[in-house]
Amino acid sequence: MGLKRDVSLSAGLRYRGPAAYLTYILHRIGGLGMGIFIAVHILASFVGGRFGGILNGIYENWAFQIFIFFCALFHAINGLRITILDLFPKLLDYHVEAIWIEWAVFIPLFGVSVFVIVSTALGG
Amino acid sequence: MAKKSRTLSLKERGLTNFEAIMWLFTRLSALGMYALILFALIGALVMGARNNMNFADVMRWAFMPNVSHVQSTDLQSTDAWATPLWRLTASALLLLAAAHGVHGLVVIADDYIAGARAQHCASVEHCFSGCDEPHGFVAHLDFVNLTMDDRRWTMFHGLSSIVYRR
Ligand code: HEM
Repeated sequence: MGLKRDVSLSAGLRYRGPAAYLTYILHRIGGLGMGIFIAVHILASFVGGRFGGILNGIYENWAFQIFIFFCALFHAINGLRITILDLFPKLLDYHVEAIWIEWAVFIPLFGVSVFVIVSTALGG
Repeated sequence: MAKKSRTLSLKERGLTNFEAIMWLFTRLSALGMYALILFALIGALVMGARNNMNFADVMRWAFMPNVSHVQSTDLQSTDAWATPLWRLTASALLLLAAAHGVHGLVVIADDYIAGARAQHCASVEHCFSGCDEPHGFVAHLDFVNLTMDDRRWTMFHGLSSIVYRR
């Protein structure tokens, strides 16, 4: 039982819809990223020992922290926009403006966080 | 932009099946997680995080207020961070996140597994029959939505209410 899409996968990957498409795919990546990596992180803490230590060591790497913080922060901020607009459907008329506000919140917050993570990594 | 909204209210849509109830749960649990994270953040500041912790440590605590998250932090004592209140808060957050996250993973899996139910929605026209004014986001259907029924599509984009326009 294969997928029934009438466009090829490559056409699908090249497709760029209106603004909400980017937020949609990033929301999905963020949710998936957190779901998978938080589960592994909790399991690693349960297992403990050398193996658990090695796994959790990955999580302390600065590059990984940037990735997982992107997942968490983007998913949380975008999720708040989705929640507000869905629970107050009248606001959906302004969904494009809402996405601009969302970027205005996300970019500075994430920028500062990346700066802190990198400068901590460099400063030891 | 000043066009009048013709979106159905939550009440008019009705929450009659499991997917719809979980749709609401996803949003309410999102708000719940926000509340708990904010509570943990304020708690950390009250317990002296201003003096002993850097930004990353505070965030680590806020996202999961479990004492093991501050054990390697520069605190004189972690006693205040291990009270039943914080255990309860952390447990509630974990429970909410697990329920929300597991259902989210199921939604994603469901999107990529084309079954009999999915084929019910074999065309854009079908999805939107009864929808007299197609919205710009219909363009997304080219790519993703030929395998979904209309309710699933609504969850797909976080633009749920548009499909419910009449
Ligand atoms: C403050 C925290 C969070 C907020 C505000 C939030 C918000 C949301 C919202 C509103 C949705 C529905 C999206 C839609 O229907 O289009 C969603 C989906 C999802 N969430 Fe979260 N969430 C949060 C935390 C988490 C956590 C901690 C995890 C993982 C453990 C997670 C995993 C997921 C997954 C996998 C989905 C499904 C994504 C998809 O269908 O594309 N979320 N989240």
